[in-house]
Order: sequence, then structure tokens, then C-alpha cells
Amino acid sequence: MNKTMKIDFSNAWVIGIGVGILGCVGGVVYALLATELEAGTLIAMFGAPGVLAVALLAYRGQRRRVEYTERGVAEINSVLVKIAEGDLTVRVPEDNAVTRDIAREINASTQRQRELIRNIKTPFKVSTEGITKIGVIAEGQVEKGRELTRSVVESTTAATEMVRTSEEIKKSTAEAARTSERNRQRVAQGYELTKDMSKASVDVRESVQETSKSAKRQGELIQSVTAAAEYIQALNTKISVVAINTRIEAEKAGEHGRPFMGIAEAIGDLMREAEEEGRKIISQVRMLQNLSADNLSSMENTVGTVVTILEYIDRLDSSLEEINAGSSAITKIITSVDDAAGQSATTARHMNSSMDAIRERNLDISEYSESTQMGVSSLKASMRDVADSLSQFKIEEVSEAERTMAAIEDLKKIQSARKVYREEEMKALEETRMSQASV
Amino acid sequence: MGISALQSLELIERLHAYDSVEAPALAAPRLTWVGTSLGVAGVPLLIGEGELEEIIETPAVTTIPGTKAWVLGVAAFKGGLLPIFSGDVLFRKRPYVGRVRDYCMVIRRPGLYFGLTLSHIQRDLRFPIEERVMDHPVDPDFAEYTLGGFMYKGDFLAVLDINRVVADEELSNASAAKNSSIKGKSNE
Repeated sequence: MNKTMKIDFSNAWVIGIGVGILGCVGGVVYALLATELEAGTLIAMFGAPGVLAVALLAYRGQRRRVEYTERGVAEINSVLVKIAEGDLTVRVPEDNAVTRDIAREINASTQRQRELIRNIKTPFKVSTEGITKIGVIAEGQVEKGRELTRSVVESTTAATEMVRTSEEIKKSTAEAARTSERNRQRVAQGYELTKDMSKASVDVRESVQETSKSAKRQGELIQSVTAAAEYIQALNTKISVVAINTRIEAEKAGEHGRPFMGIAEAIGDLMREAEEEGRKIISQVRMLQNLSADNLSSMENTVGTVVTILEYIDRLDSSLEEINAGSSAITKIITSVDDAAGQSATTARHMNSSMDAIRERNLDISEYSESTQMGVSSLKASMRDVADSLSQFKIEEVSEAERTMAAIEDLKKIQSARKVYREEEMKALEETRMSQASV
Repeated sequence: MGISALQSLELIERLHAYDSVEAPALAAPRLTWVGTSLGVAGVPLLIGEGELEEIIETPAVTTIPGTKAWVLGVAAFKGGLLPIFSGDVLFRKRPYVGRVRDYCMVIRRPGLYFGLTLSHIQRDLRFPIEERVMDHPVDPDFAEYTLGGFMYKGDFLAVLDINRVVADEELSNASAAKNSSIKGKSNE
């Protein structure tokens, strides 16, 4: 554009000069044709264009110098405009003799500025990387802090649950201890009862043995009575025989034996009654004997049963002693479980309070980390602004391929960026999780 | 003139005859059967009055070789000898092993004088003659020697006819013939 302008500018000058010469020539020709010319006039007429031509040549030379200078100034101005726009890569051409020194100074100055900006950008770049790392670390700290807060909340909930469970265990163990104590008392009562039963069984056994002895004696007496009854029965039979023989003899004696016959009949009648009664007695005595034998057998069985009961009572006694010992051991175990549950509850409470403290400290740390993150973010923004500002200074030629790669890297950074919660979002999230943990 | 004592008595008799009930008619004397209740070989029997000589305790006997099994032996009795027969073996016709028979009845018939062991003895009994039952079943071993019987307290007491017993040829010959010997002896 500038070259095009230069070419048009010089052509205009040539066209102008040509037009001037042609104008002069035309004026001379017109003057010659229109008037009669004298020598002086002719000389004037011919000398004037020469002077005019010289003047024009001089003017043209001056003009060319001015244009040359102006061109150099224009180049400097254009370069300065670009420098003012931040492009330090431009160089002022040093081929203009008028503006060569200025151009050299400007070039040297831009060179120094480039170096200065480069020297500034390098630590800024390093600082930006460091701040980015700090930001990432701070973000990680915030995230870790939140995770730690959640873990602490969960641990607190678990500890609270543990406290509640320990208290329930304590209640259950207390109830179990009371039940065990009641069982132990009942076992002790059962133990006393077995002692009483044992004593009573021994008494029963002795009593039954005594009764058995009496029954044996009774059996012997019954046997003796039976023998006596049988003897009486035998006597009755003998008396019956005597009565029968008396009647027979009375019959033999005829009329004289009639009184004996009456006596024999009377004896027979008496014997009938006596025999019936004797038979009844013998039957009942035998029945009594059988009953006595049954009673004796029953008593012997009773003694055997009582002995068996005594053995069972002994076993029951030993079992109750074992149960008593077991109940005592269970009571001790329950007591130790109760103590352990109490200690566990106390420990859980301590842990709960420690967790609360940790959570509060962690919340403080999270706030600090968030503040750090915010500070780092603002610092990064400031650094980004400074970098943007510095990047406005063009100090190196950047190819199109490098610009494309830089754009791709920026896009990658955008894609890999993590989701950053806002403050109110994070608080809402934490409140929701805390409410869920408390439920 | 008052009435005499005889007239008063006659008047009393008339009044009594007129006012009082009639005197009960005396029942006709009932004929009764009298006998002794005893048992032979466990069968309750009745022995009629006058058929028994007496009842004695079974005496110690001396066995007589060559006699039938129902001959327990001969015992010294009232200065003489009394053969003692086993009622169980005689009527059952098989050896008897059981309780010792303590009593036996002495039977005296023309040409026969012996003692027959008894299983039990009761007493003399008296039954109305019209109550005699003639068609009641009797133990088969005693059926041919009995002649009816009486019911006493639910039991039938057959009347043993001693004449039929003594008329039996088996009893008339105590010798142990080959064809009439019974193997075995009682424990008496």
C-alpha cells in the first residue's frame, strides 16, 4: 500500500513537471504566433523557460530530498505506530541516510525492549506455572478437606451410632445381669429345694424302710394268723367230723341216741356258722396277706424309687451347682461386657468430640484453603492479565502452525479443567450430606 | 244266780271263736333227706344217713404188694385191720398226685369193710325230699355211682350211692390182675 502510494506520488511529480513544461512551451508558441517578437523578447521568451526549467529542476531536487526525508520519517512513523501497538518485532529500515541514525536508535531501543520484555516474561511464565501448581494443590487441599470433612462426619455418625449401640448394650447387659441374678437366685432356691427334697427323700426312705419292716412283721403276723386260722379251720373240720360221727353213733344207738343226735345237729349248725366265718376269716386273712405282700413289694419299690429319686436329686444337685457356677460366670461376663460397653461408649464420646474438633479444624482448613484458592485464583487472574498485557508486546515472529498448536493446548486445558463448585453450592452440598448423616 | 266258772270259760271260748282269727293250720311234716356233705376226688357229694360207719383221720397204712393202685394199704384200726382205698385213684382211674387226704370215710357192708379217702368234709345236711334233682349232670367218673342230688348254695351235690360203689366189680377185687392193673402209684 505504501509502495503503491510512493509510485503514484513520484508519477504525479513527473506529470506535473511535464505539464508545466508543456504549459511553458505552449505559452511561448502562443506568444510567437500571436505577436511580433523582438530579440529581447525572444531572449526573454526563451530565457524565461530556461530559468523556469532550472528553477523547476532545483525545486524538483529539493522536492526529491524532502520526499526522501519524508519517506524515512514515514517509515519511522509507521514503525513507531507498530511499536505503539506493541509490535516490537518491527525494524526501521536503515537505508535512509536522513533517518538512519534515528532508525538505528529505534531498532536498538526495540531490541532492548524485546530483551527486557523477554526477561520479564520468563519469570512470569515460571511464576504462573508455580501459581498454577499452587492453585491445583490448593484445590486438591480443598477437595481433600471436603473429603476429610465428609469422612469425619461419617466417623462422627458412626461414633454416635457406636455410643447408642454401646448404651443399648449396657441396657441389655443390665437387663441380662438382672435376669442372670434372678436365675441365680432361683437356682439357689432350687438348690435349697433339692436339699430339702433330698432330706425329705431320706426321711421317706427311712420311713418306708421302717414301714417295710413293720409290713414284714405284719406279714409274719398275718402268716401266723393265717396258720392259726387254718388250724382253727382244721379244728372245725375235726369238730365237724366229730359231729358227723356223733350223729352216726346216735343213729346207731337208736332211741337212746336221739339226744346225741340233737347235740350233733346243734354242733353241726354251730360248725356251719363257724366254718363259714372261718372260711371268711381265712379268705380275708389270705387277702390281707396278699395285700401285705403287695404293700411290701410296693414299699420295696417305693424304697427303690426313693433311692432312684435320691440319685436324681444328687444329679440335680450337681447340675444346679454347675448351673449356679455357670450363672455366676455369665454374670461376671455380663458385668465385664457392661464395663467394656461403658468404656466403649466413653471412648466413642471422646472420639466423637475429637471428631467434632477435627471437623471444625478441617472446616477452618477448608476455609483457609478456599481462601488460598481464591487468592491463588485472583493471583492467577492478575498474572494472566499481566501475561496478556505482556503478550501484547510482540517480540518474536510467531508462525501460523505455532498459533494453531497454542490454541489446541488452550482447548486441552479447558477440557481437562475440573469442576469448581461455587461457595454456596459447596455449602448446600455439605449441609445435605450432614443432614443425611444425622438421619 | 251267777254263771259258773265253766260257763264263763265256755263264754270266753265262744267270744274268742267269734272274734279272733283262726289258728294257723299246722303244716304237714315234711320229709327230709339227711346226709353228710363231703368230697371225693374233688367232687362234692352227699352220703345218705346210715351209709357211713364213721369218718376218721387217714391212718398210717402199710402198703400191700400185688394190689391195685387204689389200695393205699392196710391200717391198724380199733384192734383190727382196715384197708384204706384212694378215692381219687378209684374213681378217676388214674394216679393221683396232690394234697394229702387227711380224712377217710369208713364203710361197712356185708363182706366189705374199708376206708375211702375224702378230699374234703363239710357237715350233715338236711334237704326236703322233693328238692332232689335226678337229672342234673354229674362228673362222668361219678355218674354211674350217683343217684340224683340236691342244689346247695348254687352247687349241685350229687348223692353217692354206696351200694352201687360196693357192687362194682372193680372194688370187689383188689388184686392187681394184669389186665386191670393201673400203672403208677399215688404219693400216698
